[in-house]
Amino acid sequence: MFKTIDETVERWAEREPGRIFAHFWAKDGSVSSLTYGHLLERSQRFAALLAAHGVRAGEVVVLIQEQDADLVASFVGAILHGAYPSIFAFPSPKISREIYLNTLDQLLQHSAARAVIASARFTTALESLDTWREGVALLPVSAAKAHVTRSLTPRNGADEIAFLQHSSGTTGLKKGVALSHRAVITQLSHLTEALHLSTHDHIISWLPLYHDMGLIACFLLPLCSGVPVTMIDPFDWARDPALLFDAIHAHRGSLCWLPNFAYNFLATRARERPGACFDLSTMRAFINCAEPISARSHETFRARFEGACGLRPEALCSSYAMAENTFAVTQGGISSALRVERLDEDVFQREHTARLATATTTRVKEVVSSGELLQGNRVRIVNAGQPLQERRVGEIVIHSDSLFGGYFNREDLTHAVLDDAGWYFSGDLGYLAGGQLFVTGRRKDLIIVAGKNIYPGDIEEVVSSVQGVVPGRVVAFGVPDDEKGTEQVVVVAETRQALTTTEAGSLRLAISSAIRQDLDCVAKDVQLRPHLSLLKSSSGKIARDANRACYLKGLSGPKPRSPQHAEGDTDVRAL
Amino acid sequence: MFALFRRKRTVANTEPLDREQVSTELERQIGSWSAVAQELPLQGSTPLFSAGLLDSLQFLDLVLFVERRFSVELGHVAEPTPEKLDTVDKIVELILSASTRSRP
Repeated sequence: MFKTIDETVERWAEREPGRIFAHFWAKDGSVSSLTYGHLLERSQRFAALLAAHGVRAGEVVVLIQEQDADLVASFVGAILHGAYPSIFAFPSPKISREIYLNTLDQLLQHSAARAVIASARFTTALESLDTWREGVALLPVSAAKAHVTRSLTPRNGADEIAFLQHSSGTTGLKKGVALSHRAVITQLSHLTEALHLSTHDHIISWLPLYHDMGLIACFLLPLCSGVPVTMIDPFDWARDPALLFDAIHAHRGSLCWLPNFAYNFLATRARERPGACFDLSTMRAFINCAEPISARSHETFRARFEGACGLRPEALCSSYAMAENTFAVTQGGISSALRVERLDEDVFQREHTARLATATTTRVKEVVSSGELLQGNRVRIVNAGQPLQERRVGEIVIHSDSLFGGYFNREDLTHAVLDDAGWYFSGDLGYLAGGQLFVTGRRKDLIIVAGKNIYPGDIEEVVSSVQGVVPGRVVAFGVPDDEKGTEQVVVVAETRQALTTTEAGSLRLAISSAIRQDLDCVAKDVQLRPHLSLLKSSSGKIARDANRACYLKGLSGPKPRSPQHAEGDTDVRAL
Repeated sequence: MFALFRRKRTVANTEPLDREQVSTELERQIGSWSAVAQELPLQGSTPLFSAGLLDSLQFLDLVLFVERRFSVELGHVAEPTPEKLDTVDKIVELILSASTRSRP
């Protein structure tokens, strides 16, 4: 690998122009391939397109495209030009055009974007955005074809920003993670070593490239290492999960990153093709990453695919990663067997200590190791700023040579999580034991549904605007769903008036619709409560943890009552 | 076309399906997946996916349920999408069309 992404791509194209970088797997089984030579040529056209439209180095370019060769070429093209690409999810029929455009508008404003490169099928929908009048160029992908390729000498410095990563929602859009070439190349180098990556490997992925796991592990890692990748469109995979196994079988896949829910989803939904069974014997690592890892999900997956499909149990691996560290902090299951600890749940809850269970332990909690630290990464477990000893549970704080430089144009948000010595406060909880990191929960109020980050504050804001809900008297939180292997969103909202059963049903539907339309997110449950019944903290804010505990207690006890007959409701208490 | 929708029927369906019965069974099944739908009550025109009652992963569950329970192949009528299965009424129409098409 070289010092920058652009230099790395140019050297690969120069030395081995015919080498295949990526295969794009369509739902009908057809496959198109992209070589380094063609990638560089197409990328240079995109660089020329940006130059022709006055985009300068250091300006942000948003990419709204289907997951295909043009998306990766425009990403590399923007980097060749010295601009900062940021991949944004394309418009989905599930979300209203107005909401989508409003969200995009926020992204363009927060990042001061100069151009958007969009697939032809999206440009018409995007043309009505007011922001175009303020000097943002909307460029169709096809426009790049008219531009002549021209050789560009690598000119990005290693410490310059390479690209931005945004997560979804109003909160996520404000936090564009800015990563330098040095951070990215360093991370890829450590990851290559931790994975024992070789030319025999082949990465298979259905992950979207606007997610750090898809972008880093399944696009930039293969791009810079020369290990080929096969990409499947995420929407095609959700409709036919067995496509992943078809691709593994066809390309003798060896590495695949999955969020935890996908293990359950594949085990219960992937249907074998008539007359053929899946062959997973070539896989050396399914890496569980991006949401809490469940031992039960691994067991479900192993039980389904170990026998006739040839899955090796040791191929079940793990990783702890985040966009702020470019990607991985740890890697588990490659250099040594993946550890699963059985803890005394009572001691864990009461003393925040990971004590191993004994034969007399009545309640056991299983925690899957996230593995060992990557080279160049250090982790401390802290509570109230003080480091904790091994097996004590606290916030995970990270120092590494692939850490981000800050949130783009948001020094205030950066200072909230990054201290002067360069330690990043992750907001995740965990403990260290025997050189391995175990992640046990989150301090920050973040819900992760099927690998997607959802900020409760965004949901609460949307629900507060629904007619019939008392503004500001709403709480959203995540609850575990063991069957699906992920978290689910629950919303509890106060209403000012008593409602009939029909009225309450209509209001729940209106809340559910608003969340779906505005945030492309589905609430598992929507509950209505009388005014002034949600729990508040001593500072006067709605207490998410306390209300979540009440909700979970209500699930195991009597069913919580609705406002239409909730006078004197004692499930929750107003403070 | 997805391989998912190509498999052979396993149960011969010789009796015409009853619209009301199909609708009732669908509403019951969807209610078991969605706490919000369970307490609505669900109507034939209530949006399912676009109103957030079901998520995109449950789309596959819905297709599997429909094809198994009513012994039809929805792919015979149209490629199933969340938009085409967004209400109980739409699903019932697709089931009845698929049933008619596949009956000997």
